[in-house]
Amino acid sequence: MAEVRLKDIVKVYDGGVKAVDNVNIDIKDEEFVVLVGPSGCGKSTTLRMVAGLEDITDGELTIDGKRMNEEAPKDRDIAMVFQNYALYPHMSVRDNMAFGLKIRKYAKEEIESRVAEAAGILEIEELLDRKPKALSGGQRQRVAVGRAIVRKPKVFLFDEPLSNLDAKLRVQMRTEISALHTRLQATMIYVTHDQVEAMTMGDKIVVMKGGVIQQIGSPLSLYNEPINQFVASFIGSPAMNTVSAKVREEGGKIIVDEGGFVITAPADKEEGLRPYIGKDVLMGIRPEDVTVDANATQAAYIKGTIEVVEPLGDETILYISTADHQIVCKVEPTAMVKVGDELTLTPNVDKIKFFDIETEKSIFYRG
Amino acid sequence: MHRKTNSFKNIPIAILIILVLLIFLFPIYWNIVTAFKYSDEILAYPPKLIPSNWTFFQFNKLLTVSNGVFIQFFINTVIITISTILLVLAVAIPSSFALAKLPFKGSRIVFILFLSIFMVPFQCLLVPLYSLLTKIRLYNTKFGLILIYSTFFMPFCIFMLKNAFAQLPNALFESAILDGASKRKIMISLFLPLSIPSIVSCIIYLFIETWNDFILAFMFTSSNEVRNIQVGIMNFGKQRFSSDWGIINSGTLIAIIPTIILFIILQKYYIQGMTSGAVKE
Repeated sequence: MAEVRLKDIVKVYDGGVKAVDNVNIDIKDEEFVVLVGPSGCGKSTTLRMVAGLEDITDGELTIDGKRMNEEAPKDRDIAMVFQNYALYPHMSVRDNMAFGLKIRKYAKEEIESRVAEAAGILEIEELLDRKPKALSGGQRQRVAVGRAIVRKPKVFLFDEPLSNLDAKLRVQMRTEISALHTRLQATMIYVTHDQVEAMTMGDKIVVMKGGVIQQIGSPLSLYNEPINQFVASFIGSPAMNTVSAKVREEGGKIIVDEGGFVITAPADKEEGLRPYIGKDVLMGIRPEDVTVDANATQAAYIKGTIEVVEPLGDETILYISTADHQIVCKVEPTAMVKVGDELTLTPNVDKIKFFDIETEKSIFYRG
Repeated sequence: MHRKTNSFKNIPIAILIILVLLIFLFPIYWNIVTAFKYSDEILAYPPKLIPSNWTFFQFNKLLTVSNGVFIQFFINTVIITISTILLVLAVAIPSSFALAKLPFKGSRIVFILFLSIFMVPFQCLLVPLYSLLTKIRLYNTKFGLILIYSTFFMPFCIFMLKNAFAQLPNALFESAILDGASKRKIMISLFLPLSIPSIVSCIIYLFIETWNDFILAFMFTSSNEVRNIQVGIMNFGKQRFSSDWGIINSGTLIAIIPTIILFIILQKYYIQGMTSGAVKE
């Protein structure tokens, strides 16, 4: 298996568009790394540079310590699963899976045993003689994964492989790919724009925006300690609420006040917020860190009117308009609320994040 | 929802279609019946729509006149047509693949240059081509004719195949690259089988254009060893003060048969080719 290292990687397209800027990622052997970000953030370009499908403008890519920048894709010992499966339409599933091995001139018996093994792992034995057009979306995706598995590559690359599947199938395939990673113990790099996929699958997540890495970390570290407002709102569903609020001092305490969302800063945050007295900060609270509480204290509360109620069964999502913003909250399904109700909620003060309004960086980020 | 169609509304359209069909089909019908008439009935007045006696007399005359030179014309045309098709495909397929999937600096200009051959009416080039062929001693040779056909018919094939290749997803190409396939292997194993309808359309186009050509063959050939079927029929059907309509019609009937057979065999792919890309799958 393999360690992959991206050092100061830059990609500039003809015409001067910088798609990827100074990307540094260390991927350990057997690690499952997810590159996540919105469309156009450079995640797919980064993956394609690892694959060798895009030239690297600057920087160095190494696999197991060997520089790969100039190596042809076929010599990098990688396999890639594409978003649109990229199965060869005129070949049977068996031939699709065997194509790469035949080109590399493997013995016939070896090819047959590898195809059979991969088909067994993915439970597609009965599909081997079918053509891709006779397969469902999920089956095609399995074949695409199978085509990668038979090669036994050093590194697996996945480029948004689940985005063409329906929601239910996506969840199923997600767990299957995770299980496959555990079984194969292979280094995998996975690109997605879906933060749920990133959170559930990755050992390590790389959040990108505008071609620049925002933060690298484990799923929970990104969730609990986002480096900036972008990561905070990108990771988690529904997204973290961020509102601009004024910082003031009152009787020795520091108050952060949005109008309808007011808190007294806990003691450990006072020092950090002091320089912002008289200024605005971005205050962030996750929808799940709020409770409906009629006895909300003066120390921390969110007051507003319910605009939308979304009962999901296991929880209810409320859209509440406060003084200047809309805040999304996740509450118990038993909460007796309806549209138009005036409501007071209690935020979990310890979970509130503060971001500098200009740099959007977390004021209390501890690395 | 079931929509009731007014069948009376369709009557004028049906009449129009039948009229147009008659206009197009009558010459073919006239060609067929004339080929099977005796010579005295061909020019009879009033004309006979159906021969009184069906006969192979004209065909017999066609195949035996001038020591059976008609068979020579037929063979010449087969050789020239098949060679042109092979030569054009051998050049057009790799060129189109490169233009579609291996962009290089100036590839757009190269493509436009190919298309520009399209835009020049070939009649303008007849005289310069005549002097060129004479100079390089290819006048009145099959090879010279094959080269001229290939030059004139290549751009359309490149245009058609380039579009067919370009429609195939890039991911297929990239996936094969990662599988370790060379570009030539990708072209032969993936892109060719997936573009069969377009290739068949090119074959039919080349066959019709080459097989039925009169002007170019007339200009650049002067002996029976090289002449194609169209020029051949005209040459020995035409006498000093009259034309032998029996030979001309039986020759023409034989000349159109290969095109019809080819079209019947390949029409399935041809229709696919014409409509490929029309609907997003």
